[in-house]
Amino acid sequence: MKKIVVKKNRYIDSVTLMSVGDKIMKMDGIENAEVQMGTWANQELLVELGYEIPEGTGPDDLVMAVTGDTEEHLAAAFTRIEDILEHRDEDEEEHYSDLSEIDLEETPFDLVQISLPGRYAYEEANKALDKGLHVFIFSDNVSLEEERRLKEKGREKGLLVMGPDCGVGMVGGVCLAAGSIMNQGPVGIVAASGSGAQEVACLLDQCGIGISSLIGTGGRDLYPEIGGIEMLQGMELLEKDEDTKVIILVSKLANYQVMEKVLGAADSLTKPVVAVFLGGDEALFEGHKTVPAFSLEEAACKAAKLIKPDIDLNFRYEDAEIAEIVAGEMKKYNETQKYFRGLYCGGTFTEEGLLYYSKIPGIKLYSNLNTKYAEKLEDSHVSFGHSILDMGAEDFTSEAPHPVFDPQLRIRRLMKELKDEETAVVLLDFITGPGVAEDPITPFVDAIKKADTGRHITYIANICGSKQDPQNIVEKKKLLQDAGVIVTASSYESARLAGALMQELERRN
Amino acid sequence: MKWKVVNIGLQFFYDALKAQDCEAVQVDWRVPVQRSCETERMLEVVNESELKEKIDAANDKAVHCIIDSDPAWVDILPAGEVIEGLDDYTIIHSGPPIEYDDMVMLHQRGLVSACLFEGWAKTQEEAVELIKSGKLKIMSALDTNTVGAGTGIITKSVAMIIIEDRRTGIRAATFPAEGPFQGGFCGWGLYSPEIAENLRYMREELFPVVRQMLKEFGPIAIKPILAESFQMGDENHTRQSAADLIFEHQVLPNLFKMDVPKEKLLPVVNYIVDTPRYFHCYGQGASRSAMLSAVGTEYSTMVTAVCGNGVTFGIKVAGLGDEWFTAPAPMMKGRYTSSKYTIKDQLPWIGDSCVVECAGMGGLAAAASPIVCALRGMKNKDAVALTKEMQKICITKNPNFPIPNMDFEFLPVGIDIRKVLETGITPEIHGGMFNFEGGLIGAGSARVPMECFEKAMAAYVKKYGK
Repeated sequence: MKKIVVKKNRYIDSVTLMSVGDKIMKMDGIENAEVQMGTWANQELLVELGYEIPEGTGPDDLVMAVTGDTEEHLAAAFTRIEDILEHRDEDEEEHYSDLSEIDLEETPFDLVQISLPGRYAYEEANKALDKGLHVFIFSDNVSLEEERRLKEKGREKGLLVMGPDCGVGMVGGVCLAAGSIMNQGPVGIVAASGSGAQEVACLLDQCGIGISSLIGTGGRDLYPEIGGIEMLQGMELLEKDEDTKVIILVSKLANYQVMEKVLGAADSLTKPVVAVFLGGDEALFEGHKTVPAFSLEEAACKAAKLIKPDIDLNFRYEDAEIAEIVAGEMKKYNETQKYFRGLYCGGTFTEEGLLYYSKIPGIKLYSNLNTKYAEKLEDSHVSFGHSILDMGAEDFTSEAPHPVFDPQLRIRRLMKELKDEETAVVLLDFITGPGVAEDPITPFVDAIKKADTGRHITYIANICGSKQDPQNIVEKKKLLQDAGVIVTASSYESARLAGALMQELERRN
Repeated sequence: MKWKVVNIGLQFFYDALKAQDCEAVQVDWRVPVQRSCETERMLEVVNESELKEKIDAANDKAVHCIIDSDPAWVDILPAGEVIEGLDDYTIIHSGPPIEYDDMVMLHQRGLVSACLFEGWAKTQEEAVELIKSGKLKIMSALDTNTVGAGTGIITKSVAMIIIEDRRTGIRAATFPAEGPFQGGFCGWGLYSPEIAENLRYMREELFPVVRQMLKEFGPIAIKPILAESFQMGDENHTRQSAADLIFEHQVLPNLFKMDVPKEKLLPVVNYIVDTPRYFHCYGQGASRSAMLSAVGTEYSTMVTAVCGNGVTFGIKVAGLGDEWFTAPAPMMKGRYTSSKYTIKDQLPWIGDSCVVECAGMGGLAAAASPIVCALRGMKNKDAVALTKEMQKICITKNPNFPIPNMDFEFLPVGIDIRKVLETGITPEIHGGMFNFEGGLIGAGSARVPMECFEKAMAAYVKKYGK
């Protein structure tokens, strides 16, 4: 059906009008849309298109003509035309093609977040520092030499250089990159490990304890070439920050001299410091004031205790609980089912898992990572024995988007594991936040429900996220549980449960 | 207070910031220019200090051919009398030279129309035979002192607007719009008895009155009109709304002062006032007349011609005389006049009107006309950014054209092929979009293909490099 409306003596520049028709044509059920001044040439065109033009329409009149399938769609189109002409739908942002165009006097920006291909990140970060802005670099593939130059410059200017290869952060009340939205609170975190810091913050969130800042340093900050510049700078900042009462340091095991330097610096702070260097031992902390922790969960718990000494923490399974679950599950496997398959998406979680499993006697581990804890899989795409995969590693992300941003890669792998009759236990970790997949969980729930293996599979999962995240983790947790997934409180607890099952499977095998 | 964040890179990180009510902007970052080894080598040659000095001096001279030009409308004359080499049995068309068989339908039709209009053939079949016989001389407009907007079909009998650069005395000729037939014969390559009659009517009825006016009141200076219109929202390629009015403001009083009967005068007035974008041919004529004095400036790397024929696209460079450097013609992006058109209807770039870009107007003057930028859904700020981008590939700025929108900064002028290769930025050109049948279906813009500049630079290095 066709509708034509004429507005007498309403002049709008033809150039402006040219863009209106295009926008209307994109609407549902609209076949044709012309918004034109009623010149003779335009009237001719409209007649050609089958419109009847009201008598007396002239070149000073605005003619709006729309063809669509229903009255509703036509009405919507006319409303939209009015909106466009009255500028009611202007939501466009300022447009910049280069950092140099941004006028800080107009808008005093604080930080530049960079996620360009690595080879371009240095230049933009450098420009940002020159403009006096803090920098957060998500990009990887920035050379150590460039990283050092940026961090030295940042230190000189009193600016943060978070990253390169920094996955999460929360500064100035804004959560960056793949981080979760945390409530403001008394704990400041400086972390060389993205998912590790995220886990600590989320566990604190579950205790009702918020975060003052989460300063990511990038994974190489504690390399000797960098010497922990950012971690030291972050600690200093948190020491001065009035809102911070307790400081947590999170890293994988790093260069001993640098860790020593960091712990030495922590000794001179007035605020209590809890530190976890995943894979490190007690000896590391000898002679230092810092409260040692050996898992992410422990770091979170110790910090929570410092804030609220009488807090009741219940993340942990009792040993008996684990034994009960294991006994129940073992009864349901058939005899072909022998192995555990850990499909991790968080790098630190993989590391933490490997570390934990490697301490269980008599278990042989395989992984796609080059690590002392496991034998390297011949082909990352084919699991073997107890396989622990970091699906955020390059052998996977070179083929598809990182599983934190797009679940598809990991779902395909899950289906593959389910086809393997040796699979007994599958572990999944989930990360939420405004900067990751809109819904990282439901697709797995659907896949699990649909999967018809004819065997019983134990699914273990944990969600690393906060209640403030847009994904609604409470609801998602229930979805998982309804699908028969055992949802643990933390990556560490997932590892404990998985480890116990592995041990029992191995005993039976 | 929450921190304010600039995001460079992944769009969804920006969306995540906005979702937290963080004040954030997204930088539309682009990959920095990647130059080939060959380009690097050529740039090394032209940046060698001795040659560079010569080029800079030559470019200064060439660009002042534009800046110091004093174009004026001096006359209307038959094309045969003013265009070099336009003899009988000669047809001019737009764009780089091209064989009849390779032409788009528009040009083929234009050549046939030309034969019918001049009476060289009685039927279309006869015309095609004549064209294929090789007896006709077929030339590119930009190989002469004219400009072929659209199809640019010009034969000896077409009446042409004559613009003289009074600094040099060099004349350029451009065809005027054909009243009710708009593009008609010259612009769209159409022929019908009515079109032929209209061309005769313009030549014999309208233009004698106009010539008399020019005789009585003297030439009309073009540059002041351009300058004023740039301050009133024209970029003088896609839009001439202000220029038309200023022009009419000068011409009409003169016409009325003349001792001409009303019935002879009124059609002239109507013709000038009713023709949309009437001033466009004056802007092109002014550009062309200035550019002609730059052609052949030894050592200069300034671009003197930019045009397409619907198949290939070509440029010329001052220091390389009349040699063409071509690439496939680009497609324009913009808005269609009606939503019934799509890219499938659209012809690749055809026409010579980018001569105005060579003279620092049109796409280079985007900042002067935010409304033309709005054609592509861009904002005022984008228009300014575009002109600033064009500054990076231009020799200098033209003090004749200060732009209010840029705090009266001057428009850039003189496209330098060195700078194009160095920056990877190619000139923005505005224009009209045609369909394959020759109808005007919209307006938009394109970028001159980089290949043209690479080829030109290769020729330049061959000629001037050591």
